[in-house]
Amino acid sequence: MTTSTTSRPLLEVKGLSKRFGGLQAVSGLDLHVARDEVVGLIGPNGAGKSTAFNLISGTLIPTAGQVVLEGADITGKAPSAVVRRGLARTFQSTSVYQGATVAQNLLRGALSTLPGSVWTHTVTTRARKAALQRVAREVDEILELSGLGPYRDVAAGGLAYGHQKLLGVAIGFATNPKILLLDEPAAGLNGEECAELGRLLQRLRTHRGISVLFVEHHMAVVMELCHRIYVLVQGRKIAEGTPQEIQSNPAVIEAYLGAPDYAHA
Amino acid sequence: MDMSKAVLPSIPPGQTESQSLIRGAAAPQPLGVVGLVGLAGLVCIPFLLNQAFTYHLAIFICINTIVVTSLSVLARAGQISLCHGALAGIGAYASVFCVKGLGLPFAVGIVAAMAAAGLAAYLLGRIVLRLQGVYFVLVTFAFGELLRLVLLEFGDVTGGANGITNIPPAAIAGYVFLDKPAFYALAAVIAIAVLAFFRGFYASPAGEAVDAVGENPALAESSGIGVRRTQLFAFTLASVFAGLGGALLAHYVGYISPESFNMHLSVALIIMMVVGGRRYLLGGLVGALVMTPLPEFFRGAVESQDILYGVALILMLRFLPQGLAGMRLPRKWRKQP
Repeated sequence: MTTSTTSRPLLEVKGLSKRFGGLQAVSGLDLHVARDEVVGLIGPNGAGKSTAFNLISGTLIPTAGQVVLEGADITGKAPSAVVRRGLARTFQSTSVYQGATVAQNLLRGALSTLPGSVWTHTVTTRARKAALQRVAREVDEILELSGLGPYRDVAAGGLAYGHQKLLGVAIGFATNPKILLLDEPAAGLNGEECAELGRLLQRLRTHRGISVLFVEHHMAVVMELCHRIYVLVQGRKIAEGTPQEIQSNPAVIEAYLGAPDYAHA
Repeated sequence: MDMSKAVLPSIPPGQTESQSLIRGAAAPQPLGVVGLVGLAGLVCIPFLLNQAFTYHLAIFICINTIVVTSLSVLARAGQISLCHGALAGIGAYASVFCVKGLGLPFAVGIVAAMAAAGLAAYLLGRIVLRLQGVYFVLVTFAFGELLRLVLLEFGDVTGGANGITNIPPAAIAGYVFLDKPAFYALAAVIAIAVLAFFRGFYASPAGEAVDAVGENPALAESSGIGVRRTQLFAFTLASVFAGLGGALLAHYVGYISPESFNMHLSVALIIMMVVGGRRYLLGGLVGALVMTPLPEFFRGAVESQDILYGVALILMLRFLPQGLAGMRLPRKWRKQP
């Protein structure tokens, strides 16, 4: 649809499929995310949204299909390698380094942006010192943006649930991604926290133009933030479009609420 | 899958002293006057007592400190190895081969020991670090046994079950560390240097990566810190210092055999690490200080020694999973909001 009109999309997923034994969890999924775009992936429980995330981020290896980031094929690459190419993901449950401070959590997120590898990181060179100072500044910036600044030196395990979820998103952002995949960032958050999350995403995007692809059940969040939405049911894409189109799409309504009685009549 | 957690219950680490800036961006904090004086006093005790037996024990404490401190790098990266003793053995044999076999200086032997042990761990890790938890433990156990059998089998090089005797003592620039006080001074200096190295290491980005992988592998992997790559690095680094410890042992005792580096050593090292505190820089030192002299007190009860160790380990894991070095921590933790 929009593929031909704009330049090449940032992330392209073609014919992605995953089979677990007899279960076809995801079949022939096509999707794309353009630069600076926020795209939602919704669907009832068990639709294969999280599996699709795991396939795209490299946690699972697809049975068939291709994941292309900026024109380069990243299918089946290790998650850590995919992150270094600019695609980061967060987890459905809270995932932080419980014993480390908030600042340290963000530092660990930013480690992959340092030049060299763990084999050379023991040695402190002048260049590395400069890089570390840059990382320290970025950490401060993210603390500021995310509103986690006051908790800087608090152990992440001691944060409230909502703050831990924010920190999870902030760690993903600290890897300096071009596209961030968020797995149910609003799950378990109350209304105020949801609004705060939405504002955080907007701030992060205006601060550094990144694309976002996210799975979410919280429809208010999805409809407010997304430019486009894909709907997945039983591993298949049944609809895509703008929030308005999706809200009035009969196939989507049927998938979520069941067919109205008169449809059978 | 993650059986290492079952073997050793996970503990909330970190959060000790590093409240300063971000650790990786800052130099490690100074030890403080109290710490330095305490350490200096500790090092001086054998000189004050001036008994051959105290020197002997102190030398073993130094060597154990080096090896256990290195083992905890791997533990902090989330893996437990049952072949750390065997890797120390590789270092010992490599050094003895260089110094006794080829007539090279002691310093060259030490470097060769560290290189040989590191290389062995790197090659082994390349293959087996795709395994996690208890599966990795089992393979390292098998590797230790394999190495022991190889040492026994190739008797013309390794001396077989008879081992190698008359190993030349340590010597640097013409000075021979023949008597115990001299060798103790050498071992103490090396042990302190190793502790200083790891102090810097844990404050570097590499140390941060090791801790990240150990604490939450899934999150580390998905934020760009390769779990396998980091664990391979930790395994290699740990082994380099195990090789150093093994070489020191060989040149101190003057005799090595395959049985010097069998599974019992590997298990003893793990016990020291756990008792001392595997998440703390000084855990290795504390573990070695407590556990090295212990067998001397149980000399009269050799049969029940292992039982006492087992009971001590279980009690330790039940009531003090962070080890002795973490004893002060709980009070601090309660202050956290």
